Formats: sequence, structure tokens, C-alpha cells
Amino acid sequence: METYTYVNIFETKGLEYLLLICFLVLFVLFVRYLGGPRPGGGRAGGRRLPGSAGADRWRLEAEEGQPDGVVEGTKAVGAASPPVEVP
Amino acid sequence: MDRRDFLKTAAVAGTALAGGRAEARQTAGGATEFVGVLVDTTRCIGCRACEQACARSHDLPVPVVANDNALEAERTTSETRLTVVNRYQTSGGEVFVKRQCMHCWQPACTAACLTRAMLKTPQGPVIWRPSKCMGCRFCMVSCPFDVPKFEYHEWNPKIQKCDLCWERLQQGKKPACVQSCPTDALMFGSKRDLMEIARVRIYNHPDRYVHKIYGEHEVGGTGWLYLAAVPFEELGFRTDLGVTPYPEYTRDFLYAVPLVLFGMPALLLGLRLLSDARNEP
Amino acid sequence: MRRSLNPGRGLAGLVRFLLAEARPKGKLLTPFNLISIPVILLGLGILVVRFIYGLGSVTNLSQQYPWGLWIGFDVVTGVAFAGGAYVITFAVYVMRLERYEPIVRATVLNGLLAYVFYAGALTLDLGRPWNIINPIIGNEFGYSSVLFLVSWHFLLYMLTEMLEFSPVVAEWLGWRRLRRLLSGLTLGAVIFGVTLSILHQSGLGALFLMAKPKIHPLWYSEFIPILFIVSSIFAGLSLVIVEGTISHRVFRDQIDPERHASFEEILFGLAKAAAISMFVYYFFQALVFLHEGRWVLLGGFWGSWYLLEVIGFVLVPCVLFAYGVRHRRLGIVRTAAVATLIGIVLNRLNISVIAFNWNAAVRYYPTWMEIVVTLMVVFAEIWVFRWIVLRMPVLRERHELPAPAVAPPPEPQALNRSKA
Repeated sequence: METYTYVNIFETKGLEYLLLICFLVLFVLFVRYLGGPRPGGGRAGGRRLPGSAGADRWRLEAEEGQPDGVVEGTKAVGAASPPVEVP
Repeated sequence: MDRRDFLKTAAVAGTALAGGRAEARQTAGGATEFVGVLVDTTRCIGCRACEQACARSHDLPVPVVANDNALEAERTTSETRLTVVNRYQTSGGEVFVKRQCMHCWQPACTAACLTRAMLKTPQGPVIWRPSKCMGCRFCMVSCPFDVPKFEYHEWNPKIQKCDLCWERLQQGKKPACVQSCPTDALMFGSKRDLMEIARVRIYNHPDRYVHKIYGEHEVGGTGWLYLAAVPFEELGFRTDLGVTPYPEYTRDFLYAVPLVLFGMPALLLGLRLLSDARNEP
Repeated sequence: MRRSLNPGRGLAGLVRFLLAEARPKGKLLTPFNLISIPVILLGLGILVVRFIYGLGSVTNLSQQYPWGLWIGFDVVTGVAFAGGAYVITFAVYVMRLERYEPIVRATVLNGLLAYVFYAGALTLDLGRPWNIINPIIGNEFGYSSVLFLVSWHFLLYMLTEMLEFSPVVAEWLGWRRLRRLLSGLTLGAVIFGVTLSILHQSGLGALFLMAKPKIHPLWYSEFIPILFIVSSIFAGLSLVIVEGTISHRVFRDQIDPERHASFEEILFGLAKAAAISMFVYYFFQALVFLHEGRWVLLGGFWGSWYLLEVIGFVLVPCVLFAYGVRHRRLGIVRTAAVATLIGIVLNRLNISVIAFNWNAAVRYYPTWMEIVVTLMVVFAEIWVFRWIVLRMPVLRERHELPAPAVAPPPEPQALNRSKA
């Protein structure tokens, strides 16, 4: 308060945006790791109970739009399409 | 610095300080101006008459100043002494500093109090009301100066802190400590007047004071103001508290609360309806 | 099921039923009882002393440490642990993830009891507890206080959780019509409850916003409320994993084998959600770290202590969760859950007690009496939890009540009916 020098309150913003980009990349990788292909993909598909098709959708952008029972092809881009094909 | 010197500076400032008028002044807008006390640490001789006067007027144990050696160590206020005088060995020699509640302009304790037991009165003093308080001690957590003190060994504990002699003020008297001060180190008045006097003192004696009035801006401004000959860090003051009034730190959160309460139920209901369309053909 | 759930007609029947239910079930001399009963009795004794001679007679609280273990652990940490209730009810009733329906009742019960006991422990810490109703009855409303908000939310959230749990009680008492009525209110209670939870979980963090000069800068930031709400998600999920694991062992006879099998799937689902929320939380911490320029603070004890919390008890459990989910290793998931809970305890205690007034000359340590009272609160909660689980249809399948046409979960259908 006694100093009259310039204070930049957004000094770390650049670093923060860098961190954000790292986060977005890592987040996609992390979510794919979590829900990604397991040994025996067919079993993983059958694991799901009917009526709980959306269970894994919970907070998972990457798996959004994934039709029931399909594990392969969990592309992050698929998140954009609405999961209307679920019967 | 003697009394005549002071009167001269007061005259130069052209203030209307009539020897310490007790009642708060009305501004042109009709609002009441907050009162406070100016402490000139260059005048304090460490006699601790203020401690005794304070204890007497608050029915607390009166310190025996002659032989309790209380100045040997730095003390804090406590539930039995609402003000203390500390001695500091500084670059400018021995300095005595009186400490008590600062009576902030926007106090953290009153913002923190969920029952308004801590109350900022329109005249300025921050007081505590026993009939409201539930003893949660959130005021103690929030106060940047660690002022409110709690009676831990009572079944019916009180929060103890300086109330700027709220009862005496209402009778038109000055606070007991100010009344008792033999060297005019303490001066009672409206903050506007006190600031002018403090500035004039610094202006007239630029080599006697550091050019800072502690309490002018600290935590948004306080009722008690301090002048000193040495940097305030050397006198046990925290100078890292900032100039933001402490209630502002919770402002964003409290402003957001109604937004969440309005928006979130609608959002949740929307999600529920969406999940309906998804799961049930 | 093992016994008739029909309490009989009329008041006399009800009283007879309640008296029968009040009798202890199961063995009295279990290891848990042998430990908990003396602790509870001792705790009650300590509380008598506390209410006669003041807080200072049993606690190490001081003018510098106005809040100690009772607030830091019981209230601040306990409420974070109770976060599972709002997360699970959100998943089941809002997102309709019916896979998690079997754990809803136990989780809501756990959340309700956590609030009753841990938030109830707040009254033990109040210096003048008889004034606790002041902010409720308006003597006076301290609108400007975060604590005012938190206390109101505690009260309202307890009521919503009671409402969420009330169908179970109605089922227990065999009050069919009341149960249907209460079930219809569940969705509203859930939506209100999730909203309240978001606000008071973050509000508990916001309590410390004004303690800026006191909390070590590695823990203080203006983002504390956000960090609290995000961490309450995985704190709650981890507690559900741990509590569920224990419940399924202790109350094995309450659960039929089919549900037992689906429970593993549930745990993996919870672990996945926990992993993701922890991942996000970790990056929130990283963001705050950058934003506040904390790298200059990393030297010395506090720096190491901070890294232990954020890396050792956030990042590591997060990775463990992910590994456990991907490789379907339940043991690792459970380890991760326990580590997460430790991390939450560390975080909440750091902010409220350990890194609070971190440079004070005299530090605060809880007395043994504070610890005993804290244990007493936890044990008392477990006692009540057990009492209810052994009597009401919390864990077991609920075919005692042949509800016409409505199979569990009844709530989604109830809504559909009203729409149709």
C-alpha cells in the first residue's frame, strides 16, 4: 500500500492456461485409461445391466454417446453426439 | 512533545476538537461519524494507568502496576485484561505501545457472527451482546488482530474484548483509558478529526514520526490509529494484513449463494428430465 | 424374511412392535462393543466435566486456537465424509443410474447420522449452547455470516435427509400409504438436498476465508470453497466404498447373494467416479498452486507437509483408483479409498487446526479427552447405524411390502405416473 509500483494481478494467467491445456489432454487420456478396452471386450460389454446403460456416463465425457455394450471405439470425439440410439 | 505543542498543531489543523468531545459528530448527510482513538506512541511513558482504568470500569482484576513486572515480556490482551501496554526495544529506543480492539470500520467479527452478538454500533464501537452469543468463537477465527477472547474456564463463558467503553460513551464520557492517560498519548474523537491531527503531527515533525498512520487503511480502516517513531513492524504490529476490509473475503461466496439456490434446483430437474428421455424410450 | 414386518393394528400394536424392536439383537460381547461401550461412557463423563467447568477443563483450546479437534474433525471432516449421500442420491434420482440404487438407503442413512452426530458435536463445542436456536428464531439473523448459512443448511439438509430416509421407516412400520406419499417427495428432497450440500460443503471452506492472515499460505486461497466442494465428492465416495465394504461383511446375512455380486460392480463404478473427481481436484490444486505462486513456499516442513497431502494423499490414491478400476482389483480400490479418507482428514485438519496460526509460539494438540469425545461421537453413530440396519429394510431386499405394481425403486415411476 505504501509502494506505488505496478502490480499485475494476472501475472500467472499464462501459466494457468498452459496448465489448463495440459489438463484437458491428460483428462481425456485418463478417462480413456479408466474406461478403455479391457482384456475380453465382449465380457465388458455383457457386464452392463440392461437399464443401466448410462452408468458409466456419469461424469465421463469421453464415453458419452457410446451405445450400450460397445467398448471399442470410445473416441473422445464421440462425446458430441447425443446417445439417442440407446433403445 | 508537550501539551502546548499539541494545541498548536491542533490549531493549525483547524479542527473542531474541543478537548475530546465524547459524542459522535453528525455529518452533513445526517449519518453518524464513527469515533476512534489516536495513540501517539512517542508520548506514551508506559505508566499503564490505562490498563488500570480499563480494568476498573469493566469490573476485571486491576493490575498492580508498581510490582508486577508485566512489561518484561510481550503480552496479549486476554479475557481478564482488555488492553495491555507492551514495551519494545527498537531502533529508536524504548517504545511503549497500548493494544486493544481496533474497532474496525468493517469488522470481520461482526460479519462472522451468526447471531449479530458482535455488533458494530452506529457510533463506531464494536460491542458484544451476551443474550445473542452462542459461543461458537467464529469471531476469534476471523479477527485479523486476534482480539476477541473467550472464557474457557466458565460454564457460561463470555467473549471479552474492548468495547471502547460503550456505556461511558452513552453517558457522554470519554473511554476510561483516554480519560486516565496522563500524557495525552491517547486522544478520543471522530476519525476525521483524529486523522487530521495525526497528519499535522507528521507534517510538523517529519523527522519524529514514520510517515504512516497505522489504522488509516489497514483492513479497510480502523477506529484506533497509531503514530510511531519507528517502523510498525518493530512494535509488534502486523503490516501484512492488507487494506481490504475482511468481510470482503467472503463477499463472493455469500453473493453466489442465492444464485446457486435459484439455479441449481432447475438444473438438477433438467438433468432428471434428460435422463428420463435417455433411459426410457 | 426372518420376521413379520406387520406391527399390527392400532396404537397398542404399534407400541408392542416398537418395544419388541427396541430389544437388543445379536451378541452383546462383540469386540466392537467391548471397545465402544467404555469409550462412550468415558466420553459422557468428560462431557459432564466440560459443561460444569467450561471447555478449558477438558480441551487444549486457547485464545489462539479457538477451534480444535471437535470442530476440525467432527464437523469439518465429518461433513465431508457425509458427502456420499448427496453424490449417490444425485446419481440415482437425478441421473437415474439405477445400478447404484442398492446402496442408496445405506448411504442416505449414513449421511443423515453423520449430520446428526457430527454436526451435533458442534453443540458440545459451543460455549453457550442454549443460544443455538438464536439464528433460527431470529435473535438475531446474522445474514452476513458464512456460519449462519452453514448452520441453516445443516438444519435444512438434515430435514431433507430425514425425508429421503422416511420411506424406509414407513416400510419398517408397515405404513403403506404413508410410504407411498413419502416416496413421492423423494425427488424433491434429493434436488433440494444436493443444492444445499453444494452450498454448505463449500460453505465450510468459506468459513476460513476471513482467517487469511492465520492460515499458512500453502493452504489459504480464495478457492477454498471450490476445493471443499470438489473434495467432498471423492471423500463421500471413498467413505461409501469403505463403509459399504465393512457393512457387507458385518451385515452379511442382511443381503441376498444376488445383490452381493452386483455390489462389486457398484464399487468399481464409485471408484471410477472418485478417480475422476480426484483428478480434477488435483488439477484445481495445481491451478491454485500456480495462481498463488506457491513454489516459493515449498522449502521446509510446511512445504513437505503440503506435498505429502497433495501428492501422497490425492495424486497417489487417484492413480490407485484408476489402476484398480482398469485392472478390476478390488483390494487396490479399497486401499485407495482408505488413503483418500486419510488425505481428506489431513486437508481439513490442516486448514482448520494444523496450519492454522502455524507460526504461533504455543501449538495446539488435542487432549486425550478431546480424542475420547471424538471417538464417542463416531462410536455412537455406528451404534445407531447398526440398530437401524438390523431393524429397518436398509440393506436387505424389501419384498416384505408387496407394493401394488410398483417395484423398487418406486420413485422414478412415481414421477412417470404423474407425467402420464
